[in-house]
Amino acid sequence: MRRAERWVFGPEDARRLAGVRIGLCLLLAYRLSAHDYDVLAARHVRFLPHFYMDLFAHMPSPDLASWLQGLGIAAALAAGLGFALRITLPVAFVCGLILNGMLNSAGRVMVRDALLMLCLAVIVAAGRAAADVWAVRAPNRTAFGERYGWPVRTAMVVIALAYFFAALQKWHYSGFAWVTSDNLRWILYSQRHPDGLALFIADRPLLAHLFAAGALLLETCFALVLFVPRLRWLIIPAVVAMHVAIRIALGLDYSAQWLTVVIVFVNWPVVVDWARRRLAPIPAQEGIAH
Amino acid sequence: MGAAPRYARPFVAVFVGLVVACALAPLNLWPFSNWELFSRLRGPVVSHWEAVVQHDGRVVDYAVGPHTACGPLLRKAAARFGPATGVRIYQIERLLSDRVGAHAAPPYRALVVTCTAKGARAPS
Repeated sequence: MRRAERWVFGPEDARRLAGVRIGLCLLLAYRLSAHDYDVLAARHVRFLPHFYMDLFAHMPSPDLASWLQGLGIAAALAAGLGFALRITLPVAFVCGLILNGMLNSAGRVMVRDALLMLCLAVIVAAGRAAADVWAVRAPNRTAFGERYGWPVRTAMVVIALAYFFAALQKWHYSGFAWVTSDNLRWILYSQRHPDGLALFIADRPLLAHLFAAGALLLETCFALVLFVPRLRWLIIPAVVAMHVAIRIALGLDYSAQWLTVVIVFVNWPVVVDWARRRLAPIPAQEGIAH
Repeated sequence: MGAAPRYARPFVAVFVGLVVACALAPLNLWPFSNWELFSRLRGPVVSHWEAVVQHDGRVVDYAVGPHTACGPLLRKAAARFGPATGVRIYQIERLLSDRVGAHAAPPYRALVVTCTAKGARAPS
């Protein structure tokens, strides 16, 4: 337990937290712009308030939905720039909660943006530390400390737990039959209009078993990325590939989830330093110049 | 300057605890999730129940729950389509692997009961 605490609260480069802030805020702005919340509000769907949406007596009006969408996108972009972060990030987060709550109160709870919102909640809790560098009005300096490490590592733990529990529920409810039965074939066939990839896999039982085994193995082993950092080079691309395959085969868009995984696990200072070195002009050697 | 704020440790404990508790309970308190998506086994057959009403010379069908009593069904149909003479209830079954090229084969429909003002009539 002490080792885990030391790891979570270990020091970190301020730019890494700032990179996660910028990435998650841009992703939130994109996700908020991807839905027509006012159209949903105008459709008069039955309002089945989910959890905190009990605060509303009925589905928010189309005008309120449009207003929240505009405010949420503007606040998320401002938070991405690090502008007035103590105000803009919580505002963007609350707008995201209400607008996602509208989608979740139309009869079906969507998991796809859950991980993004959980990780954003951690960045909200980090407060000003997330805008100490790579932000407008922030001095151009380097910083290192515990206050920059715990939000990034807590987000990593939350992501690892999400995949671990997705696997655990499959083991709990279905066991090894999730792989050995024709479960994945029935999932693929049960769509209204399955596409070519879905039918290609579903028509080949052995291939379906392999995909099911791969998905379950990946989810079960995901948490290893916390203990063996080198495995991130294998597991993170595999997770992205799994979600892209799900998008193609089942039409389920989990881009918010896999982009959150990439944003949180990529070491942004290393990427930026590498890009700077690659893009910097090579100085002419004196011996050759003369 | 570089130390974590005092609230950080309790926050992490409560936040991670909530993630774990919602998954184990299981509770779906979005964005805290139980992560149960696709965790239960699917079978080779999907079935649902369908009500069929004659309305203005057209046949209108809509999904209903299984074992729905005739009285409420007739009242709902009358409210929706005007005075309905009868509502036929079908059980629709589709074998998922049953396909015609890239498309699903037509489902199997079995008449379960016909509801009229005089009562329920089982298929003969």
